[in-house]
Amino acid sequence: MIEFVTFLVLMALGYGFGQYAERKHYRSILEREKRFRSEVLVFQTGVPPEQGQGQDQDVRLVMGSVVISVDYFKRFLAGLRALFGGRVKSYESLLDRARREAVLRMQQEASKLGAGMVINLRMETASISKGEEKTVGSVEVLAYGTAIITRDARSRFEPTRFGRATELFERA
Amino acid sequence: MQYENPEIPEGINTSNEHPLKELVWLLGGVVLVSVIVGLFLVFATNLSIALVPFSYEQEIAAPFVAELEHEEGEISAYLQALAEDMSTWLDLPSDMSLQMHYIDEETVNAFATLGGHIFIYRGLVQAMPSENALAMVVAHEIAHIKQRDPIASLGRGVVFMIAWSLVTGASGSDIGGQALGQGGLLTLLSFSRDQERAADQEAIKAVEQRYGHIAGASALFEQLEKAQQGSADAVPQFFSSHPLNEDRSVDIEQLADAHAWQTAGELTPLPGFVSRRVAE
Repeated sequence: MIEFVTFLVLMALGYGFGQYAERKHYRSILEREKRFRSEVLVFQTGVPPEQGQGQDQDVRLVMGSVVISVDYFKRFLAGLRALFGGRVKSYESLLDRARREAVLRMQQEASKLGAGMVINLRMETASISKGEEKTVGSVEVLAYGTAIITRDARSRFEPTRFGRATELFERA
Repeated sequence: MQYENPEIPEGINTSNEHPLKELVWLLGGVVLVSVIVGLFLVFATNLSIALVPFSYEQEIAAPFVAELEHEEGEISAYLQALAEDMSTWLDLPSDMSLQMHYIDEETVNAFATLGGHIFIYRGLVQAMPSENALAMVVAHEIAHIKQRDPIASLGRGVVFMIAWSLVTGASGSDIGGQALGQGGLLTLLSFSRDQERAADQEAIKAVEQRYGHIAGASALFEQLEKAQQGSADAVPQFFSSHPLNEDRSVDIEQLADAHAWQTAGELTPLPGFVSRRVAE
């Protein structure tokens, strides 16, 4: 009986806080994605399209890392999925948030360095708990890439010779 | 040329389905599957119980009976004689033997367990107004043993423990052994309402044959109810898994009507030494 009450409390807490955090996080993600969409361009290729080899630019490694924990409710749902199979929807949204957050943090770092673009975007996922029992399941998502910073301006707040990335491409 | 990171459409990598809806569906599935598997297991266990020899039951029970505190003396000798008497009216198979135990505690309770062991508490004997009523209780417990209810209950318990450990992946290879080795094994066995009802019917039949009427026995349940209200204990086991006492009385009345049994008759009192001892 005590176990059942504990279970219900954990489920309610997991659901309440988990859903609240998820909704809040998605709002923030959408808002920041909108901001960074044109501010820091992200390419998965090694060479930015139509960019050529510029002369006056620095390259820097930038990364964004996120560690997320599973709440009890999501884990219970995933546990049920282990019986029936199918999409583990409760984890999908969690990892979706983590990936987007990691890219956003990387963009933020690039933006601070004055970069207008990040090339060669890569992502990695690592389990921290490694499936150990009696530990909270948590996962790291790491996004990293090469930030291209025009030499004349270390900050994007100062206009550069080439201007920001968008202007650069406009010219090209 | 103007570059911009594309706006990625939502709802592809994630689902818009409400998580509670998923929970309800999955839990519903689990419940449905569990019920089906559970019913199948109960059915299979009940079928296979007939294949377990009574001597094996006695073997399992022996170490636990020794642990339970009980008194050997004139009251248990009296109970033993009463049980032997009732068992002939119940047609107890010859390979089954009964062992009565008297426990000197206030609890208004009696229970039958593995290996033909029956435990009667002082509180219950005290609440009995006549030997007819006590014979009804004893016959009821003997009927459980005859129906092999205790071993069926244990079998279900073991099967469910194994099933549970398979589902949850609990470690330990000797789960069946663990279930058998549990303390409280004898007292934790519970019977279904159908088993109780069947035991009631067998018992009242035997009482009718023994005494020629069912007076005293049919009123048993009301008396137990009264005795229960008087005691401050938690609900005694004799009631908890049993059908409602009112329903049981009605069932017995119907049975008596159907067989045209005498409902009135001379009550046999409890032997004087028994009444004196339990009142002490």
